[in-house]
Amino acid sequence: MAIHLSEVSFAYDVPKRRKYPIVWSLKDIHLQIELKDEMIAFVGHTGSGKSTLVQLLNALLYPTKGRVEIKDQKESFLLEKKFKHQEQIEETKKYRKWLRKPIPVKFKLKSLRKKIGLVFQFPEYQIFEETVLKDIMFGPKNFSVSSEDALKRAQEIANIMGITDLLDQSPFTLSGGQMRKVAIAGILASNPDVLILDEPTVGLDPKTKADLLQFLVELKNKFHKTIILITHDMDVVAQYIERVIVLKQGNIMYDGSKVDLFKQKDIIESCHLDYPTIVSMMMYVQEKLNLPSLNVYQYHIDDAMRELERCLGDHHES
Amino acid sequence: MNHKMVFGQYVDGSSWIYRLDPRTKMIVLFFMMISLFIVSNLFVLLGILCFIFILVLSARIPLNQFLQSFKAMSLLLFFTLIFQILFNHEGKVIEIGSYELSFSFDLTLLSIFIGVILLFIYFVLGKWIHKFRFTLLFVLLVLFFYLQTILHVKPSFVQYTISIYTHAFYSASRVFLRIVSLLSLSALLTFTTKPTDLNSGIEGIFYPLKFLRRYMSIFAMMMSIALRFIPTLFNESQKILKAQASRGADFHEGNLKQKTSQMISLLIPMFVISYKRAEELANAMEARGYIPGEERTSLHILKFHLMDGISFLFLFFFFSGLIVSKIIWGI
Repeated sequence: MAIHLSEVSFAYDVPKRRKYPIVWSLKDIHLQIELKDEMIAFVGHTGSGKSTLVQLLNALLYPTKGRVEIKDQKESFLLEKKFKHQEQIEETKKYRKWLRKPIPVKFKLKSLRKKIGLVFQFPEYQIFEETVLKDIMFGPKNFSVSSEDALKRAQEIANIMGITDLLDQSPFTLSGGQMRKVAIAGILASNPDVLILDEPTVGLDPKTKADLLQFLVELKNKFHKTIILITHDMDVVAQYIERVIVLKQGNIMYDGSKVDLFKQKDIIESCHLDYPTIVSMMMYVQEKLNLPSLNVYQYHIDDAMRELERCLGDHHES
Repeated sequence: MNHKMVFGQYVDGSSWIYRLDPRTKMIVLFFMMISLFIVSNLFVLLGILCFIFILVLSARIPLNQFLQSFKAMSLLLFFTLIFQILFNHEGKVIEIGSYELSFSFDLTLLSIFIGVILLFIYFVLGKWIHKFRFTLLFVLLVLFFYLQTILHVKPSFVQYTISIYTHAFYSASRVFLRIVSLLSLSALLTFTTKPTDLNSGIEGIFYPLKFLRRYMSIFAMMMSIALRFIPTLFNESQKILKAQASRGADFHEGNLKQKTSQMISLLIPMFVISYKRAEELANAMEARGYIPGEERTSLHILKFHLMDGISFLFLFFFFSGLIVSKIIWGI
C-alpha cells in the first residue's frame, strides 16, 4: 500500500471575488509514503497545516488543487477536487459522459476510511455510547462487520490496550487518559493498515504517555501497521520516530530521518522546533566542558551516557 | 470550515447608519415599523417604502446581499398575496379598459392528463436542474392553469371562475408593501449593527427602567455569550462530524432509522461539550468576580452624537406628521 500526494494545495475558504487573496493551508505538497512497519511524524508549529494534511489522507477533506492517490494490491483511491461532494473515488473512465458527472461509489469511501484510521486531537469528543464496549464496536459496525465479530474484535483490542476492566463502564465517567485509550481502541477495532494520531500525548500524564507510545511501537512491530503521529514533542520524535516530515506555513521543509533533522540548525530554528531534551543536555555539556569531539546527537539516555564516558575518557587521556 | 464566521447578517461598512448609536437605530426603526400599521393609504405606504430604499442605498449595503434577505420570506409573501387575491371578494371586479380580470377554468379529463404529464416532467427535470426547481414548478403550474382556460374538451369535471376584485387588489398591495417594508427595516438594522451592539443597545434602552435593569443585564450577558459561542459550537460540531466519519459513520446514507442513529453520534458529544464548556465558562466568570445582575462598568460606553439627535428629530416630525395626517385626512 502506498500514499502519493502530487502538487496538493488546500484552502479552507476560496473567496468568490478575485480581489481577496486565497489563504492556503497547504501549498504544492509532494509526498510519498510507502506503507511499511514505520513510525512517521508530522511536526511543525501551530497552523503549519499538519492536521489538514492528515485529514486529506482520510478523505475528510479534498484537495483544492492536485491529487491524493492511495493504492494497495486490491483497490486504488483517487481524491481530487472534482469528486468533492460526490463521495466517490472512481476512475475517470467510468464517467457517464453525457451527464458530465462521476458515478457515486459510496462504499469506496468507507473502504478507504477502514484502511486509514484517524484519531483526532481530542478523541474523547467522539465518544457517545452508553458503555465503552459499545463505543469501541461503533466503528466496526459501520464497516459492516457482524455484531459477533465486532464484539470479539473490541474485546481483543481492549485486552491489548489494557482497558478490559472499563468495558462495562459509561465512557463519561472515565479520566482523560482512559477516554483517549478508549477512543484509540475505537479506531483500532476497525483494523486499519495505517493509524494516524493527531497529537495523541497532549494532556496525558508521563506514565500514560509512555504506555501509549510503547503500545504504538508494539502495534507497529507485531501487527505491521504504519503509524503516523502529529506531535510537537521532540522527545517523542527522538525516541520513537523513524521518519520526520516538517511543515511550515503549508510547505514541507524537511522530509527525512530524525538524525539528519537535528543536525540542520536553520530548519530547527525557522520552523520553531526544539531539540530533544537529551540533545539539548549534550549540547550544554559540550559547551560547558569544551568537548568538541562529543557527538551530541544521542536519542536514548544510555547512548548519551556511553558517548559522554567515551568522550571524557578521550579527554583525560589527551 | 469558515474560521471567520460571523453570526447574523452584519456586513462591514462605515456609512452614517453604521455610525449611529444602536439605541437610536432600534428606537427609530421600532417607531417606523409602528407607522407602517398606522397608515393604510397605498401611496403613503409606497412613499415609506421608497424612503426605506433610499436609507438602504445611503447605508451602502451590498444590494445583492440585501435582496437575498427577502429570499427566505418570499414564499410566505407569495402565498399571502395568492390567498388575498383568491378569497377576497369585496368590491367590484377589476376592469382594464373593457376587459374584466375574470378567468373561467374548465377542469377536463384532458387537462388532468396533461397535469399528470407536467408533474412527471417536473420530477424528471427537477432532478437535473436542482437550482431552478421552484421556478420550474411555478412555470408548470401557470401552464397547467392556462391550459384549463383554453382546453374545453369533454368530459369536463368542474367549471370554475377566478375574478380579481378591487378590494383584493388593494389589500394584497397593502400587505405586500407592509411586509417588504418590515423586512427592509429589520434587514437594515441587522446589516448595519453587530449582534453584540444590538445586545448592548437593548441593555441601554432598558437601563432607565430600574426594576428591569438587573434582568436586562443578565439577559444581555446571556445573549452575548450565546452569540459568541455559536461559531465555536459550529466548529466543534464539524470536528465531531469528521471524527465520526473517520469511524465510518455516514450522515447522508441509509434510511431514516439509520440516519437518526448516526445523528445521535453527533448530538450526544455536542451536548456533553456544550455542558462542559458552559460549566467551565461559568466557573471562570465567577472566578473573575462576575456576579449576575450586579452593576458592571462597560468597556464601550454608548454615546449619542449629533447624527443621533438629527435622527430623533426626524422621527419626531415623521411620526407626529403621520398621526396628525391620520386624524385630519384619515390616510
